[in-house]
Amino acid sequence: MKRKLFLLILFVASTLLLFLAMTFAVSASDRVVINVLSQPRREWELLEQYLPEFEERENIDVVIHYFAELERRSRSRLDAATGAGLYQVYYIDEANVAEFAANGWLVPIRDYYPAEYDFEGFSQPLVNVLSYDGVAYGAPMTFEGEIMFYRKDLFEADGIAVPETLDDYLEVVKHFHNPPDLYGTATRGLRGSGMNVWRFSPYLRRFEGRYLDEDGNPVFNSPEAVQAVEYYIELIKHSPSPTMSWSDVMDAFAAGKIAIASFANLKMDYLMDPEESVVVDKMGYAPPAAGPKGRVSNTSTHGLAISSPGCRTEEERVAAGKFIGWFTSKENEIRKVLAGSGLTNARTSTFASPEFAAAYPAEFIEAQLAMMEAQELTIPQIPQWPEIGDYLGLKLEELFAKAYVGEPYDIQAALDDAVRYAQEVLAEE
Amino acid sequence: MTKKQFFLLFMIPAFAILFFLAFYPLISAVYYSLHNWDLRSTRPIRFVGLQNYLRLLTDPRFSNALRVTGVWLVTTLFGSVFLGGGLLAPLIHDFTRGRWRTFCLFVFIIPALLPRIGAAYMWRLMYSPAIGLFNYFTRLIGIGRVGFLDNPAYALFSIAVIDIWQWSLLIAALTMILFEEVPQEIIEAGVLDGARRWQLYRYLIFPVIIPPFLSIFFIKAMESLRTFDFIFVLTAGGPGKSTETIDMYAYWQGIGSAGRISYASAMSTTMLVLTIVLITLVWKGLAKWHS
Repeated sequence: MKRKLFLLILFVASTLLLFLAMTFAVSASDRVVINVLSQPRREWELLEQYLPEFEERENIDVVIHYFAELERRSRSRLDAATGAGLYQVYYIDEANVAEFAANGWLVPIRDYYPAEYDFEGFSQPLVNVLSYDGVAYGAPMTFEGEIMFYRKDLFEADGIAVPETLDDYLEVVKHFHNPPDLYGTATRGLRGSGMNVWRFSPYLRRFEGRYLDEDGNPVFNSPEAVQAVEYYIELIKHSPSPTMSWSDVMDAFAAGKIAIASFANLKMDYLMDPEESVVVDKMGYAPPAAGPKGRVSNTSTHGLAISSPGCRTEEERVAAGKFIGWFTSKENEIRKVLAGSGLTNARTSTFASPEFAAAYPAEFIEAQLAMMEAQELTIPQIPQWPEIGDYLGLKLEELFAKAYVGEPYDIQAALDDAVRYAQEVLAEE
Repeated sequence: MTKKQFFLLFMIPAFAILFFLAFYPLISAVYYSLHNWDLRSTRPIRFVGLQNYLRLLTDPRFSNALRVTGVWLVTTLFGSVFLGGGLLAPLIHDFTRGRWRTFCLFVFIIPALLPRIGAAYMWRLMYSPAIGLFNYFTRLIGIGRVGFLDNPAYALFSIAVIDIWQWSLLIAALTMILFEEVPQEIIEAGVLDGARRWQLYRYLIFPVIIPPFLSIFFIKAMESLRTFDFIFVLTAGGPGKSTETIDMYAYWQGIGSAGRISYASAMSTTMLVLTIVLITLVWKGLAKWHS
């Protein structure tokens, strides 16, 4: 009996001790802990090594949690919608800022962005992308527009001119297409609002199509939209695969398998890395080709925002603002330029800096400036967009896969179906 | 305190953990499937009865997911059990002895020990049409480019090959261990009667190991029904809907993009019921056949 009593006391005591230890561990430190939900990127790895400077100076502990892009989006939505609030800082992008802001999941960033880090220094179009109803919710940390990347060596050898229009572009793609050694182009086909739909969106605009009309009704089954899909399918047919993700496109280009492709300017850092790419010294750059509506480039930015369910106290909001300010500071942007990640920046001063001019070829900087004049946000800023875009992405991927293997496909029917779905989703609210 | 009470006291934490880990999510899923919870919306959650289940009946994407799940289950289950247990295990068992057999067992277990996400990325690279190993060989032998993952007709089977590769070797290893348990006298009697190798397995060895072998079959069946990782990494359900199983569709509807937690819960609950019904029917059928 005594032994049993001893065991019982031991059990109760150890349980109590465990709880006490847990409580103590939470309250022992007076440092604020900021959990950041992010996705793995080269420049994050770079800035992480400078993080102790910030933590020491501000008496704040920063824990960064990395998840792949799609996982990061869904995890932040789950965290915010359930009110779990595990993260104080969210990594956001143009695809989800409207949804998050409309639901009150974000704190207006300017209220907590420290003045010394200069919020005014961000490129204004990028701030607009991360704004909703005129209020800025995120501090931009990347700048994305579309650039035409081509194999200068191949163009010179065949005496081919850099394409100016979409017709020229397709002709060049067909000219070089000689699989499996060389593919005319590579473009994203993998489904998703942030995947094939994102890459397709500027084509929709170049053919004078749009997603929503002035009254917010979905109209992406118009003749212009059908034409844009037809054109995109031609590009897909001259790609290594109809279901490529951006990393597949990058890998194929870096392996020297692609003649020309139009994609995000910031991917150039990857193509310029001799450890990743065999085409480092063979690259040519130009602004994206013009369609019937002229040149149109996506405007995209990823940024950092303060989570309202995650920051339960004023102290946490201030700390989150300080971290975001430090992370997106001028000093850190220049660090990124010097380390070869200069395109993942968002400040006008960085792009005008001597460090930037020294780090990138003049031809690239020229192409980027021309692209910046053609930029627009090509997707609608509405909370329902991720769901509508994902469904459209599914329909597009179906079309691409069928076209690639030579099966019959019906663009109009696919777009009509996606529009019907969008109408249902919009009517639900 | 009696001895019984004493043990019950110690079991309370274990029961509590089991409840929260196993039953709480299950009860929650059923509860939410009867409501209209949508992550994207801040509207109040309200009871909608069977509305989500009725919607499933008219959702062509769900019926597609059901069909894909069925094809996936049959392909991976019979592929791995037949290949591993039926072919590989007898072959290796017959042609190896001692250290060689131990070596084979060890090698066969390795694929199952690999993290599935890592294995999926490895295969994804091998399937790549531009830089992958398989397409290099298909070109060498004159077949040309094969869209393993981007052709809707092949994608599901290409992923199934990975699952079969990982599981068939493990099942072969487990079956070989079961063979060791068969009394030697039975086999010797069969040999004396002049039975051929396949007859020894068909009429003597397999009937002896049927009960544990069926357990392997059911474990694999349940595993196949909840496969998510390979498909997520390799195609995320595409091209189009060609590899979208119920788990994958529930993920997209629930947290992947749409945020429709209640609808996804209805899907998961339906899947659970279907699994229980299917497994019970097969179990009873097999038990009857065995007896």
